[in-house]
Amino acid sequence: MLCQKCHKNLATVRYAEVVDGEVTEQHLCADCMGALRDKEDTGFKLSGNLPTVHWPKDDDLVQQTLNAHRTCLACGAALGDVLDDARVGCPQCYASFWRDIEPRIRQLDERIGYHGKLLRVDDLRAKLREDLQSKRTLLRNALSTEDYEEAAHLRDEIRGLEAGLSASESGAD
Amino acid sequence: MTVHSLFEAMPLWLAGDTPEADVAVLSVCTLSRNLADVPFPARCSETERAEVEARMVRTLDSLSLLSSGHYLSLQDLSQREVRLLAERKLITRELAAGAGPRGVYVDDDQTLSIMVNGADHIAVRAMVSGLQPQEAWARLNLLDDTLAGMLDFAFHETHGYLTADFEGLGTGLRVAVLLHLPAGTRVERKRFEAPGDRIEVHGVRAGGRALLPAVRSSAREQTKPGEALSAPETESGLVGPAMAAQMMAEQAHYSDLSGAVAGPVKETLGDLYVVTHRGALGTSEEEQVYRVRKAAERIIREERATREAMMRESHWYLEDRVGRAKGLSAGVHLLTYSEALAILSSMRLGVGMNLVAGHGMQEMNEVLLTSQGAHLEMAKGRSFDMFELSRERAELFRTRFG
Repeated sequence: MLCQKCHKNLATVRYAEVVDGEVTEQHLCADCMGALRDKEDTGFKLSGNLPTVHWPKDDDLVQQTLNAHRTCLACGAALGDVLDDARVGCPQCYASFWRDIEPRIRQLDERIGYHGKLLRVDDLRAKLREDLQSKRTLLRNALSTEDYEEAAHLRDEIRGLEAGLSASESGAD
Repeated sequence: MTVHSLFEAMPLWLAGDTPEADVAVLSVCTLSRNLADVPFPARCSETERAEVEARMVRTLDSLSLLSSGHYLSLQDLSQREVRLLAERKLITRELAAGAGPRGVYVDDDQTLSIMVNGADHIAVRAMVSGLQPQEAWARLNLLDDTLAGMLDFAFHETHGYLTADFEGLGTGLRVAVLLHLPAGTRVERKRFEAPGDRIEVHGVRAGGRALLPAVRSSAREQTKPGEALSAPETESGLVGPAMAAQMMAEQAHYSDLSGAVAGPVKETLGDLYVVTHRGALGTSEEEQVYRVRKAAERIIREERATREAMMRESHWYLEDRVGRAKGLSAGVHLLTYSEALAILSSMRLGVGMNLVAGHGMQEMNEVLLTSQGAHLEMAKGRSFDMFELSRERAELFRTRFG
């Protein structure tokens, strides 16, 4: 929400005033609130202390408001919408908002490092190594669940891949 | 290929001839990929989306391994035809309810589809009968290698493949297995709540609540502030995205197996359940497939054990359930979709336990598809209201099982 006084900055303070039992409320930015306070200091004193003002840095609500207005430079998607829909607007959004998105991704999978297939694996040996790594993970899984039939099958596949890898490496040397 | 010829030919996965066919209906793997240099479809302009579509169609045309199928642009199709594609699981509900340049490549045997401009630029889906997610993944893996050589995909070293939804980030793969659990669910529903590490079991529902966000966003795109949502005219009268969604919601089931229309386990329809894997970033594709397969195998073992125990200890209960379903099928004249799924569940149980003569699993799978709204309308070539649909569905059951 914009400041109701200058209509330029983001309103960060709610300022309520009671005159003759009638409450007037304004949403102001930090600058206008400061100016108002200065003005009041020179005029008559309010009966009590001035309202405590939480400046932006400490205020979670303000941070949330600011976040909702943060946009991706590449596609213009607002962070608020991205978090609401669990959906980004473009590949660049992940770079723009990663710090805010990461906790949500962690809820899905606590292991945050990528373990899947690589983009465009042209090199046969790199592909073999990738296969080998993934089969070894599967073997560990199978052994931990005592699925020995699957484990034996995987062990054979791993041996085959290892043989293929050493053959291709000795061929390359 | 027209949607009508696609309707006439039944998908290969209906065969129901795998060893697990008594419990496992279908395995589906969906792989999402995006182009690196274009925003994701929801934030693309109409022109950008048209360019992406043209680029994809050019690429798909040049692939010799895809020579047996055709590309269908959804803009050229009627609402009924689009709904039919969704009911066949060839497209997601989101793609069906969307707007603008978008389409799907469909393989002749209807086991492979490549969706263009859904949530992601492309989503490749393979469907295999029974419990064979590894077969579906193998097919996608091969196709992905080829596509990666021709298109520049959005990829990050530590985040993997970049997808529109957080859920797909990483491998971009969703693995789902559809199971029919009529016995286990009656005994103890709770046992299906956590069958494995990062494994989720969802119910299947005809309700369209999960579809609403997609409809809302497509409406947001089309509507400028202060302007009413314009409804495109179709042969069945005025049908806007919201109404189309409503129609799909009431007459079809689980059109999107990747979890979007998944409902709570307790409210599932026809004793059908979807087993999926949660998280795609810290887990390789093979691990995802492995975990889903193992969890499904465990559930299948439990389901079979319960069925056998019921057969041993209270076979009259099973016979009564199947007999009632047959009796209802023979005499029914108005049949809602959820009731149809309940009858079909009992019939399917009967076929799986050899209690019903003259019917097979393929027929059960066929009725699962053809009792949906767009299928009933395509069969008669006209639109129906809810009352007429119930009548048509009842007729289908009387002819098949009466």
